[in-house]
Formats: sequence, C-alpha cells, structure tokens
Amino acid sequence: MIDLVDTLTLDKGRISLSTIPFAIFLTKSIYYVQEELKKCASDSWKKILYESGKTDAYLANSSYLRICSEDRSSKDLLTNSKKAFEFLALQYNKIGKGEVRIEYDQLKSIGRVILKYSPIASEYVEHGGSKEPQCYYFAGVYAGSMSIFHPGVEAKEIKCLSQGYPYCEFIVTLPKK
Amino acid sequence: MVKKFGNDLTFDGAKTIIAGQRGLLLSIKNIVNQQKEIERIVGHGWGEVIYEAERKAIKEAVPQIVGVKELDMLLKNSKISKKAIIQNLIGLFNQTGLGLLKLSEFNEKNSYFIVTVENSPIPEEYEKRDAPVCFHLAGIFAGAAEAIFMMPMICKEVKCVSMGHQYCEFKIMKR
Repeated sequence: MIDLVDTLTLDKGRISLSTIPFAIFLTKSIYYVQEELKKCASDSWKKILYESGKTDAYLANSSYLRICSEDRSSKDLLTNSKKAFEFLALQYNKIGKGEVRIEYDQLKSIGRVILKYSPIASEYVEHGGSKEPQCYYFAGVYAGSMSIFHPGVEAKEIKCLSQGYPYCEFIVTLPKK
Repeated sequence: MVKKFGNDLTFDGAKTIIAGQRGLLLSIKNIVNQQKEIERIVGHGWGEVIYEAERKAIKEAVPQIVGVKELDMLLKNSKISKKAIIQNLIGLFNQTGLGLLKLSEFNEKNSYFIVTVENSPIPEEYEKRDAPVCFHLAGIFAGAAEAIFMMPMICKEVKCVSMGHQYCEFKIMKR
C-alpha cells in the first residue's frame, strides 16, 4: 500500500491529502483559537476541537482506504482491530502529526495511544503550560481514524505534555460488540 | 522520512514545519464545520474569534520567521523594504493550501495595502452568503501587517468568493 504521506500534493495554492482539500495552519493559530474559544464558548471548545480531529481523520483515512482498496492488506484492517491500530500508528508517524505509539488490549477493547511531540501541547508549553489536557483535536483524530474500522470509537486524553508529562496519553475505547 | 514541498514546507516524520514554525494539516471541511459551529455558539461576531486568534498567532510568528533583527532594522528606517518582506511572506502563504495570494496595491507611506486571494478553498466550501467568511485569512493579514508596520492594523475582507465574487480581496490599513 502507498503511504498516506505520498498522497499529499500542492498545486495552484491548494494542498490535498488522499484527494481531500487540506491546508497548513500554524499550531500557534490553533493555540489562540482554543484560547479565544475558552472566553466565549466555555467548555464547548473541547467538543469543537474533538469533532475537528474526528472530521479530519475520518475524511483523510476513508479516502485513503478507497485509494488503496485493491490492496488486500487494507481489507484486513476492517476485521482486525490490532492491525488497524498498528496501521494508524505507522501512517500518523509520517504526516507530521506527532510521533505515535499504540498499544491495544484486544480483551478489553481498549487502546492506549502515546503521542510524543504533540504540536498543540508544545505550543502550550511555550506559553507557560496548562493544568488540563489540551489535545482534544488529537483525541478526535484517534477516535475518527478508528471509527472507519469500528464505528462508535471514542478517545480521551488522560495525560498531556502541556501539563508537564513527557508525552500525551490517550485512551481509545471501542464499542462493546 | 522527509517530504518537502516548495522551499519552506517539510513533513519531517512527526513534525510539519513551515518556515521554521510548527504547523498542522487541517482539512478545509473541518475548518468550515468549525466556523459554522462557532457561528452557532457565539452568534453575531463569531468571525472576531477566529480573526483575533490568527492576528495574535501571526503577529507572534512573523518576527520568528522574518527575523527579529530585520524587523528591528525596519523600525530604525533602514533600507530593508516592507514590501519585500510582504512579498516573501506571500511566497510562504502560497505553500499553505489556502489559495494564491497576490499583492495588488501597496502604499508604504500611508501603511496601507490590498491583497487578493484566488483559488481560495474555504469560501468555496460555503453555500452562498451575504457577508465574507474568510476570517482566518483576514486575521493572518492583520497579524502580519502589525508585525511589519509595527503598529495596530486592521484587515477587512471586501470581496469574498462565498458572496459570488471571483476572488477574495482584503484591505489592510492602520487601525
């Protein structure tokens, strides 16, 4: 299968990833959007960012899988949760969204995602850190990515680099069968 | 594995770097959904939230991109041209996937300039509107102008593809 990063193109001022229009935003912008939203949208900002991550991951990955649909290994992902998690980790290590390591407990249907160098949390560190987790966007990314394989997946950040931890940690819960 | 686009954009494994700044790929659909959700929650003035966020972010980023030294020389009226710095930043903008930016009018004496954006993906994602929607871009231009002119600046979108215009146009002037 081709890598997700190899589907990136830049032409006439437009970027596409797996044929879906994308754009680059500075993580400073995301930091300030979150901070402005906290002033006027109270806790709704968390859901807005979480849903953003879900949208991005779902769009990019579902389109990517369509591109790779002839490849047998992409079909295995739909039936094998562990493989799907590993696939995600590999692809996300290559598209500039932090370094990801994923552990999956098949019995409990729970995944643990370790994200090193979260660009959003790094921005918070540069602005003095935070008492609460800040990477709702990335929690949404992991939930959205896995939702393609297993609808109903949700994710929650339990440790954040911005709080002083050495990495961010997310718990990804698959719906019980 | 490193994937490079143009001169300034690099996907270096875990990091997306543009002109030395951390960046993140966000889908246009996501940005538009986010804007509509902010509009639903905040109501009138929703655009200010995005505008202010971008203005602050870019005002902070430009000195790091251009170099604090160059901006300091500008302040001391050296021969470094503000227009040349703007042209460099336009080259950078055109690698971000937010359309093709052009400087159409520049008046250094009055701290005033006009830019147009063609092929802009955000307004194209909208249904027809009767007011501009490109608050990310307006905030980016205001923040960059404040860093370069070193004074409070304002950016107004006067034409927008979402309103049926062929391109988006922004006027940037003293606040």
